[in-house]
Order: sequence, then C-alpha cells, then structure tokens
Amino acid sequence: MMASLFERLFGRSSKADTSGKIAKDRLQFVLVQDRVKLPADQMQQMQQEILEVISKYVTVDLENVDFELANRERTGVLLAEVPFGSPIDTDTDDEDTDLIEAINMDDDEPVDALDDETEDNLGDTEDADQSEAISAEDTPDVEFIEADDEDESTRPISARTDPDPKD
Amino acid sequence: MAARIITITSGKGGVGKTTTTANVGVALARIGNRVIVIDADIGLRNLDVVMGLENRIVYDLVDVIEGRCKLRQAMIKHKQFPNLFLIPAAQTRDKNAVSPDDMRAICNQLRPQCDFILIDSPAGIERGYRNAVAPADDVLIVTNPEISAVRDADRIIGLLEAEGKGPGKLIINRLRADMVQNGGMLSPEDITDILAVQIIGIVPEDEYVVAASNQGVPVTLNENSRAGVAFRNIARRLTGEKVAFMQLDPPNGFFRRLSRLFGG
Repeated sequence: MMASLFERLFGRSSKADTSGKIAKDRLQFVLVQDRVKLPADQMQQMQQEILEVISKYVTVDLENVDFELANRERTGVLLAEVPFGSPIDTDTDDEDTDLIEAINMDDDEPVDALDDETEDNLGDTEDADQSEAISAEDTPDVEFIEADDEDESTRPISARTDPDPKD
Repeated sequence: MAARIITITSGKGGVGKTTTTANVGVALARIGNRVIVIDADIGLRNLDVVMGLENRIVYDLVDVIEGRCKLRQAMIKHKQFPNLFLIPAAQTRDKNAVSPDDMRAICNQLRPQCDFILIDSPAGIERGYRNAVAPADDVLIVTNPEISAVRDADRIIGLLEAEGKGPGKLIINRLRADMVQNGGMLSPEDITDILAVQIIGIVPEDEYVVAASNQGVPVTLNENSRAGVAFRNIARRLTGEKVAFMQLDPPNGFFRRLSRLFGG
C-alpha cells in the first residue's frame, strides 16, 4: 500500500536498469560499430603495433590488454587498457630483440596462452613458446586516449566519409 | 524573395517526415510566409493526403520534369492558406524518374517566388534521398526516441557531413514525457549526447495527430494539440525567432499524480 502510494507520488525512482538506459547503452554500442570505417584486420594490426611500441619500454601483461572503441561528441576514441610492469633495459638498438627480452624476462613457467595472432605479430614465433606473460598484479594501468581535436590522426577511426553511397 | 530550401528526411521510414513537412509548412504559411512544399517520395505519394489536397491533383513533379506541364500548373494552392502550395509526387513512377539535377533546377526556378521551400524526402539513403537533399540549404532530420530511428538519423548525419550539407538539425517526434521521466524511453538529452547535433523541435506523442491526418487537416491548426504547438514552434525557430522548448508536462507527472490523489 505504502509502496504503491510512493510509487504513484514519485514515479519509479531508480534509473539504473530502466529500458531507456538499456536503449542508450545499446545505441552507443551500435553506433561505435557503425561509425568505424577502418577495416577489422587493420584495426587489429594497429592495436598489435601499439602493443609492440609499449613493449619496447615496459613489460606488458598481454593477456589482460583491453582495447575499446567509444564516441566522444562525433569523434571516435580508442581506449586502451594496458597493464604494465617493470621498465625494460634498452641498450640494444634492435627492436625485435628488445621485444623478446621483454617477453622473456622471467623463465619460470612457459605460457602458451599467447594466441597465434599475438605470436605472429610480435615478430618471432620461435621464441614465443618460451615467452612468459608478465604478471599484472599491482601493476598500474595506463589509458591511451586519443586527442579530441580535429587532427588528421583521428580520422581513420572517426571519419564518417561516405562520399559515394551505393544506390 | 529568395527562398530557403529545407529538406525533411530521416533514414528510417514511419517516423513522421510527411506529418512534419505538412505541419511545418502550414505553420510557416500561417505566420505569413509564402511556402511551397514538394513531395519527393515518387511512387509513394502521401503529402497530398496529409494536407487534405488529394482531390485537386492534376499534374505532378514528374510531369514538370518531363515537360508535360509548366511548373505553375503542378502547384496546388491550399484551400485555407493561399500562400501555401503543394507540388505532389508522381504515384505511378519510381525514384529514377527524377535526378538530383532536376531537383536543383526546379528549386532554382521556385526560389524567387517564395520564402520557404520544404521538401519531403522518402525514407532510405538511396536515389530518392539524394534527390531530396540535393537542393537543400538546410536539412531537418526527424527521429523517434528509439534505437533504430536514432541509429538511422546518425547515418544520415554522417552522409550529410560527407556531402558538405552540415550535420542538419534534429526533430524528435513522438516523445512520451511520462516514459522519459520513468526512464522507459530515450530522453532528448540521451539523443543529443549520442548524435551531437542541434535540436530544433521536440514533438510529443499526441492522439490528435491521427485524427488530423484522418481528416486531412494538419494538426498544427488544432489549438488543443500539443504536437500542433510543437510544430508551430519549429516554424517560428526556422524564421529565426528564439522560442523556448515547451515544458513537457507528462500526463503522469508529479503534480498531476498529486492532484489526482487529492481528487483533482
């Protein structure tokens, strides 16, 4: 009785899981997909290369890396969550060697959890078996957030160019 | 006179493009503008019915383009507003009977004769849409507060930006304020958050709209209709007047519930 009186007076109070909120979340998800004009394989490769660069400087917990696309105003945003560990000694100039060093820092337990694509893209499949996922416990996360400006570099994700839609 | 050419489009069908075109056209004429509305939905003409002019059609848009009549002969004068004209779509042809260049040529010819040209676009993003948008100075995008309609509006905004026609302005049609308040419907804020485009009108769901189109009398002429007020406000905003968005007093709003509880 009392509850229904309150409901009648104030309407439903919680907006947590209302269908309007669900609609907004689903819509945002769909539009992120719709607005991305970069082919999936190139997106995959771009993410892989970003990880390679980070791996030159710090150890990376590759298993817990998370890339996500979002919209800000009408600009696409790439969000990367990259758990990383200790810095890497960079005394050689060879990028590939650095990367392998990064992965082989500890030789305790071999991990085959790195999937095929990751192995391939990290450059050296032979050594991948002995590679080691670096523990992510207590490591800081870093978020790389794309600038919101009209810079050309934001284009591939945000570009909504559809100059010649098909009939 | 040099008319402003405004195209009303949406991507998704059934969201209220034709209703909007008819009502904004009538509302603009009512406040003294000379207005020509063009039905660009070739093959699926309906603007004539919504405006109550279906029994006066002799020539249509395709007759003009193919030279069977003069432009003037295809312009149907509204009974109540002599400064409002309709150019109807052909019913027995398809979108390919018209090209974007045809639409530009017709609009250039009409431009000196009036204050506003409103073009009712067909649904979709194909030829019919491109015909309708080609001559536009401004584009109004009609959407409903639901995922599919907003998604299609987003697609239209992307196409307009790619064509250099700007992001367009948004009309949210069939909003139910009571549902927005309960969290059961996307709110205007949700929609502008996502689309990042300016709103030029919010039209509440209103049963007078159905009655009006049954009768062929645009709802904006009904003084009791809240949708009618919303369409008049859009017309005023198009003329540059600053009009506050109307208070969406939901039928189940707090004060209404309160007064109902106490026998109001």
